[in-house]
Amino acid sequence: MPFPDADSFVEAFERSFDFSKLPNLQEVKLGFRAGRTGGGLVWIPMALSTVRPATSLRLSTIRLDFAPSPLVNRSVLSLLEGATDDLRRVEYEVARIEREFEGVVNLTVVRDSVFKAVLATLNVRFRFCRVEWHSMT
Amino acid sequence: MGSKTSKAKRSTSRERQTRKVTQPPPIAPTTYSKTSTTKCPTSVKTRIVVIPRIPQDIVDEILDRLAANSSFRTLRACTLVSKSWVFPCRRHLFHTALFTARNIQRWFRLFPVPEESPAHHVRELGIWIAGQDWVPERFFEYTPCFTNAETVRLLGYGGVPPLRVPSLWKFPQSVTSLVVNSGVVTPVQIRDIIAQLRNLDDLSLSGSLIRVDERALVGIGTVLTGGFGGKLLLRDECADEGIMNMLLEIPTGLHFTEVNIRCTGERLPSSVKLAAVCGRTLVKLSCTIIVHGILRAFSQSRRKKTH
Repeated sequence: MPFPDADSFVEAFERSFDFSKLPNLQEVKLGFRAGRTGGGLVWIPMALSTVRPATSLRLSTIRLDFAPSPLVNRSVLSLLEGATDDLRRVEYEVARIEREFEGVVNLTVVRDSVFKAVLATLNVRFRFCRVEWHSMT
Repeated sequence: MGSKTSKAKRSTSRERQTRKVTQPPPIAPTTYSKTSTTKCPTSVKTRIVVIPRIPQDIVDEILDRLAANSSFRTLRACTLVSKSWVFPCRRHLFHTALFTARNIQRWFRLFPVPEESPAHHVRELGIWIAGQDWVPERFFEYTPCFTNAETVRLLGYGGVPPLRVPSLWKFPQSVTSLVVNSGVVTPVQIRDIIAQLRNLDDLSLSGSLIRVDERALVGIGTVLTGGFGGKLLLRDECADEGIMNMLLEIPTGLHFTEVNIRCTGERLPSSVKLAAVCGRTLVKLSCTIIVHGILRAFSQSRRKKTH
């Protein structure tokens, strides 16, 4: 399948990933796996930004899974460090969801050692949600 | 004193005996013990030992619990206990069956008459469709005998066997869940399989796909009539544009309650669109993206826009 150009990708992405169109959603799991070639995780804060109490009435669980990235090497680290803005936006959205839903939504962030190191470097803390630790195997 | 007490004991034991004969046997399984007969005095020559029949429901319950916690060998041994144990044991022994080229000959040898085979006990029917162990095509004439199968798993990696014509395969209409995990199928073949399953609710597609001409995929989903009201799982290359289009073309619409997608970044938009089509029915969404270069380009493009 040919790679679409970035603009059409953005357009398609923004049109389709909108949680406000899923009113009966109860449980959401958003995961991230890093490939060798790098990339970003901008889609996660984008998706989270569409979660509102007015449109997601039945939402009870959000799980962000940054856990098992099997490639612990420099490329993954550089990938995550290059995604500083995106991680800060995730932190912001997590705090907003926690505040707006008044604790009704059970928010969990699962992370591994690579992510923990990166988050510590960037001083990003998921203050209000539960953080699970997954050791690398 | 001693003789009196022994007489009293005898009388009570006789009373017990008569009570056993006259009264109907109690249902409680505690009365079913051999110790009561061994306690009886040896002088009583005519003893009638009534072994209460344990209701079949209780036997079934015991065997269900046994099946959950014990091995295949234990259950197989239980089938030799009594006729009433055979049916519930077989229900567990043949609950899941995976047919390959090796074991299928044995099945046909053991059960030459399909109607007398334990096929109706099978709930999860696994069929190996690729590699050296792929089942012969004629097996699919036999599959309607699995009248109570709820899940069909088509598995297999390796070389593509010749003459695979899924449109001629026959599946029982009881199937509500289809799992395809293989590297040898095309979207059209998957369509042909799904088209036969009119009561399909759950769909799980993973593995790799054989590419076909895109023109062959036009109108691909219009013949599908399943309910599609259960779980949808798309992984790896099966989160494919052709599969997405097929599902989106289903005339009855998608009503999945649970969607699980795991794909690379470039397949994400159509995958999520698929989830969004479920709209009101969707309760649980799990989306894992394997990130590659495209999202970096996406991220850069977005930043340019915002600046």
